[in-house]
Amino acid sequence: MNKIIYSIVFAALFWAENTRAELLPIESFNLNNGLQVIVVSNTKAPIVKQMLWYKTGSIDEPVGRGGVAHLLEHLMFRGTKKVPDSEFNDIIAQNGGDSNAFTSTDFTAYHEFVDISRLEVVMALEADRMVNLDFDDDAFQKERQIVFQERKQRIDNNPTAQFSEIMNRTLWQDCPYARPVTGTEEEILNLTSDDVKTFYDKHYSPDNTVLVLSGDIDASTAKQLAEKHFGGIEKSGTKTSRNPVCSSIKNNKNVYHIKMSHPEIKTPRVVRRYIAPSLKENPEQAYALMVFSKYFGEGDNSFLNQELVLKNKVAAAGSSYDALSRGDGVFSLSAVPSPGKTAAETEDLLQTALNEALKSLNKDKLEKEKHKMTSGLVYIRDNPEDAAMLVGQMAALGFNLNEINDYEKNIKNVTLGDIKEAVSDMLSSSTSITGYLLPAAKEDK
Amino acid sequence: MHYHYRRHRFLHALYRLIAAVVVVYAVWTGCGFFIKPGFDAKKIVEESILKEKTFTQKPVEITSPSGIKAWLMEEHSVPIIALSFIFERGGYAYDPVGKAGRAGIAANMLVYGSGKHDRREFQEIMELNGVRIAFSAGREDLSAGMITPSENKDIAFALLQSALTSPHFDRRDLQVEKQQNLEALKIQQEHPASILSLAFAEELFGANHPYGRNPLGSKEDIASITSEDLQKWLKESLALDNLIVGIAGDITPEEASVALDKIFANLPTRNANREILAPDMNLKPHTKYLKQDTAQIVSDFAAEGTRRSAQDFYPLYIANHILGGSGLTSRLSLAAREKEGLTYGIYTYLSTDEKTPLILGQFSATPENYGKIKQIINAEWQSIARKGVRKKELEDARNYLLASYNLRFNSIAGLADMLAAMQKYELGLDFLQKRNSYVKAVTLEEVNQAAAKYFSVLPMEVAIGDFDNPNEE
Repeated sequence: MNKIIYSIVFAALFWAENTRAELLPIESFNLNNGLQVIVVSNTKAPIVKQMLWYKTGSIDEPVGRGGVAHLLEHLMFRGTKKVPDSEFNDIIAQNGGDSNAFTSTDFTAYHEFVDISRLEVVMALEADRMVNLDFDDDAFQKERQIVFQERKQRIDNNPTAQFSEIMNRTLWQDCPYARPVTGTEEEILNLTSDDVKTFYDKHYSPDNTVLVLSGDIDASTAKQLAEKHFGGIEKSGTKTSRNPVCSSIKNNKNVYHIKMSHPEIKTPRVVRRYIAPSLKENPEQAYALMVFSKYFGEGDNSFLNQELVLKNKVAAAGSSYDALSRGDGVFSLSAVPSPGKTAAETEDLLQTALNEALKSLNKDKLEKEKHKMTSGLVYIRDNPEDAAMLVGQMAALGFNLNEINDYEKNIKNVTLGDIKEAVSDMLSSSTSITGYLLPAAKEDK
Repeated sequence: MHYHYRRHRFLHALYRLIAAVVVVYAVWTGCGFFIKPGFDAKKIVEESILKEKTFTQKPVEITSPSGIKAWLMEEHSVPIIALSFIFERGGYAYDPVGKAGRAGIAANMLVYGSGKHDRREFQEIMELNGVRIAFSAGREDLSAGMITPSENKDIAFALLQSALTSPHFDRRDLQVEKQQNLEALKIQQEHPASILSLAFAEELFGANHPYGRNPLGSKEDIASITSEDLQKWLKESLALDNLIVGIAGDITPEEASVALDKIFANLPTRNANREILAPDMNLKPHTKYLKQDTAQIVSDFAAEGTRRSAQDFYPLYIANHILGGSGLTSRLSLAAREKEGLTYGIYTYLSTDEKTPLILGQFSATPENYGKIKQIINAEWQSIARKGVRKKELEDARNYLLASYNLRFNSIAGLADMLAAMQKYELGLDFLQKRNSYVKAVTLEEVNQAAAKYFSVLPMEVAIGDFDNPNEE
């Protein structure tokens, strides 16, 4: 089972691909205990995706307790008084469901994909474990070993993942985004069952949570069932999930540069990340940066691909922009040098391309880019799992769902001036990091 | 035990014992005689206001005016059309010796300009119209998918037709593509799991069989591929007699049959690729160790399995589901992960291709856990072969398969893929209506026979990592 730790980059890709104004029938309401319920009806097939998004992730962990949000996510499958041990998994399986969960820096989500006739079973199960978690010490020890193995598999067995961690540590310094979602090896092994319970009691409460039902269900039925299964849960009273304040990091305007050599790396990589505004901090600049990233480095006709890759100056290159965050956004560039070219030469090429791309963008090109970004929005209405993912993430990050319905309008409103301003601001006054991932010294000739 | 109690004392003690056992049982499982059930999923389903429904759309077979056949499932709820198609024997195993990697490059380059459009125009038209077209060279087949908003279908079909019949395979683009594959060859060697998968294919299928080769080819192979090679591949591999098409979404049978001719009618009638022979698989139980300094040992393993067309497909499918199927409830996952915490994940699955019927599996774990997991695999393998599965396990597996039936209908592109796969595996146009009856018909005896047949031989394995002394394992 893949308990995916979603990288925040995913969000930007998803956002760019899938939203559509007025296309997605979204209804949202709150229960008295503060639980936000979002319904996206899709009657194509008698199936439904339930997602429960807790507005808490690794950035809410106490210092030194890295990995506790993720370990809790695992232990949520280890039983309650009513549904002991691993019975949760058995019940899901007997009811033909697919179930999983993932933890990110900003949120933790649990999800089940089931036949509509089994929806009430998974609603009852999620409601139960929102308040009644009850794992024993043996389960705790075993699950801590499992997340330790997970870290070994995902990070320690993967040099590019190690590089990405080190980039984040350097860029974010003392800000919680510097810390890996899994926690470090030492942190994981030192976590206690009390750490997990404290985190659970503090952050898992209906008023800190979004329930998404996406599929063959209408809003009034959803309301009736949400009341029935979740309505009786009392809120814990703790106001949680304060958004991180990383202004000192953002405002120091430092420009970091790191090199990492690794014996398993066979070809160099160059990666740059800028701390950029998020959609929450500055919507105007955020939409402008989305359009610019698309023009600059996303797709076969992007500036980077046309000017660098297809002209044999670099082997591969791209950009992405993640605007969906409880804190700041991140604008990233990456490239694989051409044979014979050094990482430093490649960095220069990227820098020049950034400036040239900005200069080259004119009104006609901008209109085309905006058109491309909105031409396939209808697809979000197809798969109820995709729709659940999108609306759930938006709501969990505290965005108004109108952002989804207004996406097309907001993209169309971006002007050339907006882009020039947003990109110039980013290039001239952002904290940024450039990293080289290199083969071990002896091979780096 | 002692039987010198007077009768009433004996009965009294017995009653007390029974009561104690019942209470213990009730507390233990949460559902005994005296304590109300803690969580009764069955009751929730029975009492739910949400009742079972059936997905009503059925596939039909359509034939175009020129005689091209396809399976179609109309679904008008979203204005999207998806096509999924397969050219059998168009995959990378059919690359000539010395030109391995050809099919992969050709597949990517089909959307890099064709007919009157150069690469830039082709991509621009796709993007501006929300059309997505992608080709992918698998081991045996070339598979492809197209999805379009239905309002842009004519543009999409025209692009697809041109990609299939007049791709440019431009020399400069080929140069870039080859350069990227050379980089990809290096990146393959950076991750233990990808090094392992290459070594595993070579060990299992043999270095001389096309299945045992690197799909990207060698440096020399890549260097030797020319634009003419790609044109030759196109002429020989993409034809009407090895084409399978599935269509789903917002399109009528009449429109679809016109589209079929528009897209495919100009293809050659016959393909020139001669079926390659099945590999002589090295399934003798053994382990090949690749020593490398990694954080975890990664293991790929395989044993003989069955074909999709075989009588014992469902029985083995269920036996495998119980032993190592996805999720956390399989025997292997319970023993190695849930009970012992030895690994993040362990699973097995079936490859049901005609040429390679296999049970495949994978896990990764730190070196001190590796031997313990191997013992668990061997013990579970032998146990299911000798003792079979329990009735309750079969029931659970059946319930899973029946209740998850509708989940396959989640996306239009998924429907088109399903229709193509149903044809490839010759499941019949009425497969969807019959599938649940196939699942229900499987008996405990059949599952246990399949388990005894296939799990009686331990798997072969290739593992990569930091072994102390592999030869002593």
